[in-house]
Amino acid sequence: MRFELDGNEVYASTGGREHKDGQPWLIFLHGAGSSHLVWSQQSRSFAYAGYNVLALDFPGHNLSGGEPLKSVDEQAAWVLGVMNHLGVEKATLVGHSLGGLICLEMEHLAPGRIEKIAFVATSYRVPVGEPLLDNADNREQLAKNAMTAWGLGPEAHHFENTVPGFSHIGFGLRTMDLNPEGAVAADLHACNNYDSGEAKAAKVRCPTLCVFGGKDKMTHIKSGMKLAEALPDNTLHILKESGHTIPGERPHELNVFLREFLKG
Amino acid sequence: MSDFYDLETLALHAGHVPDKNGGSRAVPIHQTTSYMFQDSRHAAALYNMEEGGHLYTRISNPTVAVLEQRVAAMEGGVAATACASGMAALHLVTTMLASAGDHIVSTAQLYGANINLLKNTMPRFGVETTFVHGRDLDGMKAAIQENTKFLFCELIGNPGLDVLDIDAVVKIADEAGIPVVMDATFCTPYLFKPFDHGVSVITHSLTKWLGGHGVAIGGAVVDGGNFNWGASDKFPTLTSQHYALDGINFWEEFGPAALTQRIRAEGMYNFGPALSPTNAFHILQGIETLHMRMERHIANARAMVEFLKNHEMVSWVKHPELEDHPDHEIAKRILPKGAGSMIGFGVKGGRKAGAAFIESVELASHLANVGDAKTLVIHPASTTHSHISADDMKAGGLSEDMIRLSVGLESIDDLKKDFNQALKKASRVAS
Repeated sequence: MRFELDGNEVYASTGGREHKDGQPWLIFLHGAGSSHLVWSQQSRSFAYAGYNVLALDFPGHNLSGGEPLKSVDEQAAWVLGVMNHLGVEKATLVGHSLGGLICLEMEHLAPGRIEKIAFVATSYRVPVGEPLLDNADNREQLAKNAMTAWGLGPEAHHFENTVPGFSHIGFGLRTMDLNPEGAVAADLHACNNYDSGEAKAAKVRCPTLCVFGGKDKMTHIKSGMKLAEALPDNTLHILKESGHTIPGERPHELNVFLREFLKG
Repeated sequence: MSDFYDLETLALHAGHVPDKNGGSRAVPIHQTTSYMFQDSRHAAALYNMEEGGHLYTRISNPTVAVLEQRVAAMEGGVAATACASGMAALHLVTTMLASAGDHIVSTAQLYGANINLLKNTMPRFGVETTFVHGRDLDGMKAAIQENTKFLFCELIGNPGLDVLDIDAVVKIADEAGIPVVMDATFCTPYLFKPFDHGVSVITHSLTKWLGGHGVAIGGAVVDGGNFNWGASDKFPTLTSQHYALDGINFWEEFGPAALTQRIRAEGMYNFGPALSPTNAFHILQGIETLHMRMERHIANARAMVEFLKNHEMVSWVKHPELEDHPDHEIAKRILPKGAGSMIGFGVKGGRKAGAAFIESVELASHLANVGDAKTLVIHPASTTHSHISADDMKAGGLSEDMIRLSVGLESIDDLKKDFNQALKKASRVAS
C-alpha cells in the first residue's frame, strides 16, 4: 500500500492482503540498508494467517520517498506517525537489526501501544566499526559488499536457500541497490549513535521474543544475549547455523517462533 | 581478496550443503513428482508463494534447485530458473516480458532456433521482432519502439562467431529504459560475466559447455536483479496485479527477483518446461569441472585455429582471436580468457568437399550439438540453420561452405591427425 506522510510517499507491503477491521496489527521493521523485501518470507505468510501486516520501507528506502532518517529516535517517531496515520491503536513489532533498536525506542515512545516485540538478530547497542562507516560514507559499494558478506551465514555463502533458485548474496546486494545512495550510511550512523538502548531494554513492559543467529558476524550472539538478559519478559531462540539475515536464511524456523509468540 | 567465493569454488559447492539426514556429500537426485505437505497451512502457503519450498516438480524440485542456485551463484545473479532446454529459457523470458502488441529488438547473429522463435513463432501470438546486425548500433537504437520490451543478443553469435560490443549495446538499452537479455551459452560464466557489463537477464543452454558431456538437455534463465522494472509502466506482467495468487504484484513482493517469481508462478506452472531431476544431476556433474574444461577447450581451440589456418585444403578460418576477424578488438577487450572454442572454416572445393570432410572424420563426431567434451563438426547450412532463409543465413554470418567446429578436450595431436586425414580425403573430391 502507498500513502502520504509528512509530504512523502510511504510504501508498506501488506503481504498481498487488504487490512481488515478487528485483525491484530503486525509491523515489520527492516535493518540497515535494507527494505521491506527482507521480510518477503514473512509478510505474506502472516497476512494470510489473519494479521494486518505492514512491512515498511523507511523514508528514502526502496519504494518510499523522502530522505533517510538520521537517528533511531527519528525512525521510531516516524513509525509512530505511520501508526497514527493509519489509525493503528496497538501493534506487535518485529524488528531486524536496526529495526530492533527502533522497536526498543517505540516502546519507550508509545507505552501501551506496543503489544509485543520480536527482536531478530539485534541487541540494545549495535556499534558499527569505523572502516565500515567510512566505506558507507565514501565507497558505498564496498560497504554493501561487506554487509552482505558478513550478514550471511556459511550456508547462505554456499547458496543454500529455501526459495528455489534464489541467491542470498544476489538478493541482498540487489535489494540494497534499490535504495537511493546514502541510505546505507544514514542507517549505519543511526545504529552506531544509538546508545540509550540498555536502560530502555530493562524498562520494556510487553512480552518479547529474541531470535539470534549462532553464526551472526554483524551482531554477534554475545551482544544479542545482553539484550535477551535485559528484557524482563523474554523468550529466546538461537538458530545455531544462521547468520545475521535470519528472515531470509531461516524463514521457516523464524515463522514458527513468531507464530508461537503471537499466539501465546 | 573478494568477500565471496570464487567461480571455481562455486562450481563445486554452490547450492548445496551436505545432506543433514543421510549425510550424502553428492547432490542427491530427488526423483519425485511431489512433496508431502506438513499440514493444510503449509500446503496453502506454498501454493500462495507465502514461503519457499517445493510442491510439485513441474514448478520446482530440490535437485533442480541446487542447479539453479549454482548457476545463479556463478553468474552473480539474484536467482535462476532451470528448464527443459535453452529454447525453453528464451521462450520463458519472452512470454513473461512481452504480450500481444509488444516488440523486441534482436541482433541478427543468432542460433537458428532463437531466430525462428522470434521471427516466426512469436508473431503468431502478436509479438514482433526487429532484427539488426550486431555491429549496426545506430540501427539498433532506431529499431527500439515505444512497445519494445527488451533487447536480445548472443555475445558470440552462433555459428557466425561475431562478437558483440556489449557495453555499447547495454548503453543503448539503458537510454531506452529496457533490459538486455543475453543468450550466454557460448561464453559461459568462465569466459564472460554478463551482469558485470549491465546485462539484466541471461539465458543458457546448459546442454553445452556447462553440462559439457552430451548426456542431458537443459536450460536456465538467470535473473540479474539489476533492472528496475518499476521505473516505468512498460512491464505490467511484473508491476501490476497477477491474475492469480490474489493479485500478487511481483515487483512489490519480490523486488529484484520479480521476473524469477513470475516465471515460477506462470511460466513453469502454465507451460510446464520442467527439467528432470536426473538431468539436473548430470548437468551438475559437468559444472563441477567447467573451469578446468574451459581452459582445455580454449587451449585446444587456439591450436586448431593455427592448424587450420596453415592447412592447404582450408580456404578460410574464422575465430574472434584471429586478427582478421572483424570483431577481434572487441573480443580482446571483453573476452581476455579466450573467445570460445567454436571455429568456423571452409574446405577448398565447396559444399561437396565439405561434406566429404565431415564424412571422413574418425575422431570428431558429426552431430547437432556444441560445447561437448568431445570434438564435434557439422555443416550448418544443411542442418542447424537449414530452417532459416538464405538472407537470414547471410545476415547471421553463415556461408554455404562453412564447417562449424566445436573443439573438445582430446589430445591435440590426435585431433590434428584426424583432421589432416579427413581434409586429404576431401581434397580428392575437390580435385
